[in-house]
Amino acid sequence: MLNRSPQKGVAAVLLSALFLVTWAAAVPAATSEQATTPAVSAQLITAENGIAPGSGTISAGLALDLGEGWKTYWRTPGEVGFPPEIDWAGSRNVAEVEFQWPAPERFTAFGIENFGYLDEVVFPLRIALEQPGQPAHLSAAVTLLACSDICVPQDFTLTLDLPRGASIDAESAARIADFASRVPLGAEAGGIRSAAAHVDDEATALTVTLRRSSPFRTPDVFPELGEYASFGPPDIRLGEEGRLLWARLPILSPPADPTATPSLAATDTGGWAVTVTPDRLAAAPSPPYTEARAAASMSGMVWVALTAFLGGLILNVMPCVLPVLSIKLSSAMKLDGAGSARVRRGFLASAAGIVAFMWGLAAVLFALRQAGVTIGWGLQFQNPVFLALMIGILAIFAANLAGAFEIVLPAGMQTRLARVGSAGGHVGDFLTGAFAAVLATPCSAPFLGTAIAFALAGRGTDIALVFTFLGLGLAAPYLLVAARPGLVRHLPRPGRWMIALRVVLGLLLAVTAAWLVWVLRGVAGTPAMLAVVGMTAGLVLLLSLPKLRGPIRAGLALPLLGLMLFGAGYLADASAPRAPGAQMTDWLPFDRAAIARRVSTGEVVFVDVTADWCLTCKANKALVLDRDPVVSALAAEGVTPMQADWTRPDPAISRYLEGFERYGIPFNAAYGPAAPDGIVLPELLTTDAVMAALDDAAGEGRDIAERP
Amino acid sequence: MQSEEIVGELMVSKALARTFGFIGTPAMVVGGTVIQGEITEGVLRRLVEIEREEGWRRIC
Repeated sequence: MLNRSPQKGVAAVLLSALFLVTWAAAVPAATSEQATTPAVSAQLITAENGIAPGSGTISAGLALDLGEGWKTYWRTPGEVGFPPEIDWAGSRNVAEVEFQWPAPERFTAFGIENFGYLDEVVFPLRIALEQPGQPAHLSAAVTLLACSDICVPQDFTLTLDLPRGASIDAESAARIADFASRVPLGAEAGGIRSAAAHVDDEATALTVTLRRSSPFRTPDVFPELGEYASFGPPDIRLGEEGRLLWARLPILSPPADPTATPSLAATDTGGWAVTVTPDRLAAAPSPPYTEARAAASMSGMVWVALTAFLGGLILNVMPCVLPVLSIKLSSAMKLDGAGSARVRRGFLASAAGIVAFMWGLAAVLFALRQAGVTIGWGLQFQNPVFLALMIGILAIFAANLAGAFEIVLPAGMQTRLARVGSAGGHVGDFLTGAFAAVLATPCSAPFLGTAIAFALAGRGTDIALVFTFLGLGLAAPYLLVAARPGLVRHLPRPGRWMIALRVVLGLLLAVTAAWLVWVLRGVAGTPAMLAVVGMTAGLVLLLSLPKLRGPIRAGLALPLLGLMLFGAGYLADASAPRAPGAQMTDWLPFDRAAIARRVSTGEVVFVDVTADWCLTCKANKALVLDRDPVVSALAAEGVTPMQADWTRPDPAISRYLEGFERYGIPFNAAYGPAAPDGIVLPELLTTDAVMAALDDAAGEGRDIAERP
Repeated sequence: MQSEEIVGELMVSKALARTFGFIGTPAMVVGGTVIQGEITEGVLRRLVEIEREEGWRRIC
């Protein structure tokens, strides 16, 4: 190759010259040496290759390339972790450095929420120089935490010299610009019209709203509330055609300073991100009515209707309905011996009463939801006035069945009712049906929960449909008798035994009334309970006095009833201490935040949501939770039983249930290392189901039942 | 790092980490084995069994 052609020689010289030029230009390249560990490789980069004459700031970045599966943290890292920090001591000609945070991602593991970055992140740094135009020396002592299935603190120092010069490192500039564009914008630039936040007095939840000029698509929110505050997963809802974002986050650990100003970062599809300082609200904003869910298809509606019907039908045999059985029996007895047509009309009237009550309930629930109140199934039993009314009615029914007095409608009312039509004679049947439905509502049942969840989360028509079929299901036994009135004839012939039965049924109702009195004590405290019991006794006595004439009797009884209802509401003391009964299990009070904390330490947490008024809950307790092997399993080491008492209204419990799309109780769930999100148990517990859930939650190789 | 007690605690942790060659958390020592990072309970139980069988005390 000695006699190579001149052209080739020229080309070689040119090439090496070109190489030399590029190489020369690369010498002051704006990147530090790389600090590399298995977790992360880090580099300090700058957009400028040198300090231009008169230039007072430079645009730099801390570039992190994270290894597969490794992440690092945002400035508010979440429940664990710590954010990257840089110490600039040892730098020259550096006045101030502004550290910018690109919008983070959310990571959830074992129920713990963390915010940070995967794969790659560049933290843009705005560096202000002490002497503009003069060379600078950057020395960054970086401390950061990188985590995969092990967390490794990283400490390294990156240095970079910037001589005088005016050229730009295009590649570094592009990388910095890319991540600078992910740094959240201010409110105005991000199209935010308003932002508001509310923290409740007990610091249990943060509620925020954001209004944007264009609709949100898949938003996420990252609130910050001073040092040490951390939040659970957000419940995010959209309203106002997607332009309103509403989110509620449980506060897991309250801020060190309760007056800290909240800050809210929000992200959405397409890299949109803002940071705003929301206005503090005095009251929590109510969640928007979610139209997000598309209307269910026709077949979907049929399924839901069928589910509701089944739920209603099953409700007939739930422990909740035990008190109603006596009312049903007594109504059947009254009709015994009557003609088929009379029986049919009577039972149809009762069925109508059930459905009518369901419609009334649906209307009230719909109205309450529109008003932004958290709603649920059986919640009327948390209301002392409702309880007082029920106690009064049950006591009167019981006294009537026991033969203390006959309920005679005033003559005027009887004629009026008769004029209305033949149905007028069935007012009693209608009311019996309605009353049976009322007493059937404190508990949830299989299928019922699904149907109610669909209704309460859906549109007005969904609520109407579900509650109609629920009523029809509950009324199915009545409708069956109405279709075949001959069935009534299978009841024994009337006779002396009927008087005895009436007394027994009266006693059953009295027991039910006594149960409600106990519930009332739990809900409203002892003074309110005593007042209601006293006035109910007065009411029954008044009605039993034989000498009083009808109008006088009504004139005295009605005001007394009114006074009783008023008194129940007035004397109700929600702060009265709840006397815990004798407990087989040492239940911890419900604390949603503690679930994740305990699970993260390897414990199994069993949550039981119960209430005095929930008879199915009482049945679960007596038949499963208070018996071996469950009672020993709950007492075992590493298992935490946690009980939420919903006897009185408690929004924290309502929200917890809502998170599982449940609106009624009984509710039981088991959490553990193998089931951080919880295993939800059916409404009616069985020993096997509870033991299996505990074992599944505990994870491999652990057998709760056999632990000492 | 505001009190001597905490500084002392941190020094002990640091010394232990250096002795065992820990690079991060969680880290555990079972008998003669050092475990770094997340492990399942099953693995830990098996390891405890193995260490018991092998009588690690003699090594130290």
